[in-house]
Amino acid sequence: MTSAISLTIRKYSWKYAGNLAFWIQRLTGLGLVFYLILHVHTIHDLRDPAKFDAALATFSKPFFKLGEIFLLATVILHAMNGIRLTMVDMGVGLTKQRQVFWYFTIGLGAALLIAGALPMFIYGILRHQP
Amino acid sequence: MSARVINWYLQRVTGAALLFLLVLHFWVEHFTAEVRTPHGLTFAVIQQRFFHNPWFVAVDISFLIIALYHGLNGVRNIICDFSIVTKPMRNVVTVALILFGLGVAYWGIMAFVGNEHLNPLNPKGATVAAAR
Amino acid sequence: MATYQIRVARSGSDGATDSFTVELDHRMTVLDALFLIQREQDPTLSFRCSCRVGMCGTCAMRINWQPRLACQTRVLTLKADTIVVEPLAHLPVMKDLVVAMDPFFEQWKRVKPALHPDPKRDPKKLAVVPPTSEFGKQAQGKRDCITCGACYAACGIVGSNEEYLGPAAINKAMLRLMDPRDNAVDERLEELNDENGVWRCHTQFNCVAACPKGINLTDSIMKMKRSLLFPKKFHDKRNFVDNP
Repeated sequence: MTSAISLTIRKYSWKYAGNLAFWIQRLTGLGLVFYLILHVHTIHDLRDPAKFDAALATFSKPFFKLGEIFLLATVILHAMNGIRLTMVDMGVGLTKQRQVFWYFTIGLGAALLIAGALPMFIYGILRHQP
Repeated sequence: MSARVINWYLQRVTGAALLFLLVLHFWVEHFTAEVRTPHGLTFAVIQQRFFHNPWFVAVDISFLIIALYHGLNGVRNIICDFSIVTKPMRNVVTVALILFGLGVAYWGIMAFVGNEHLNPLNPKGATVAAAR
Repeated sequence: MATYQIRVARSGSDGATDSFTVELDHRMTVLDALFLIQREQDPTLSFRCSCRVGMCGTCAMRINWQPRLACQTRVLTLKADTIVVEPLAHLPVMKDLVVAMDPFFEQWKRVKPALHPDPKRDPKKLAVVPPTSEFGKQAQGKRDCITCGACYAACGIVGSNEEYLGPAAINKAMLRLMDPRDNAVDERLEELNDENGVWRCHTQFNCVAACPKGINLTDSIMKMKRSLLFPKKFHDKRNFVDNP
């Protein structure tokens, strides 16, 4: 089993952006589908206001705020990579795909993540009032 | 055009739509003035929002359906990447995913439709919000 | 001259590699190293090659975890003292570095790679393809495919779905679909639009990185995906050979 896994890992060129982007897109996509289902389950509690407010109170705890920042990172990765994929589909920047991945998806994505996560970290975790 | 082309194309179109809707969603739930209070987002905020502007329901429901299509189409793509799932099995997978998606959509839509607390024509629901 | 450690995958016992130490000139290729080993150290080592100038596609193998042509890979360019040589992935190993190319050519055959001429067309009339036309531009680099199987071995989707067409077959199908002499449009489009056709490509770009001829295979696959939105344009080949 371990040899099969190591063979799989060695079989593909991980240093190339496209393969890495493919796995990022796949894993974040699966994670977001899972989150969507959980989210719909929470939203269903709108039928019972007390239960809904209790759920929201739980989700404003620092641990869940940290999870929210992680969710933001997942969304940004999936979205920026999705824009890159749409560009590939349209035939834009095919010869510069590594630069597009590293500078656009990862670089601009990291900048957006910091911009979005900083207020969430400051107001959700540092200045959290129970 | 075959269904496969349309699926491929719609995956891109819904992706672009989700990008727009997600930014809107993120803004509305985290940064608008009504949630920047010590309590943050509460049921009362959502209720006031819905009474004030019922289009929120339409946006939320279309957001849910677009996201479900995009996500479950992606899951189907992943499953089809494995040849152990043969072509007849893929039809079963497709039907199962559609049924699953319809179930989740029903569960989500039921949060708004037929919900007495969010009905703008129901004054009893408004009193619940006022009591808080 | 420099000393290199060559680790060669052997098919005898499961997953075994043999290590050989060879003295190589900086101009020598991996294929030269394999010949040196075969002549001086282990005559049972099996590998395939024929033209030695990178135009036959016989000596494709995985060198330092990347499918390459052994005759075109100079040891110096690998920037490593240890060179790992393995057979191509996704293809059944016959012995040592020799693989059976059957799975690759089974998919290749699916898209009817040979010319299927239009019976109504006068075969004596030459097809005029201006280099500035769509077909002229696409054919420039993309007809260089030597069917070495490097893209097929590099593709991650082939690893989980061996019924996927593979990059080389799709590239060939695109060139044939644009060819003004060819008539088998619907059959090829049907194979391309199959569940295991172009739709299985998720743009990993592994094939582009591996192709020893530098063909942008992902570009071909994406062109075919977009073309399937308007498949009727392949019935009028003037779309591809008329000057813009």
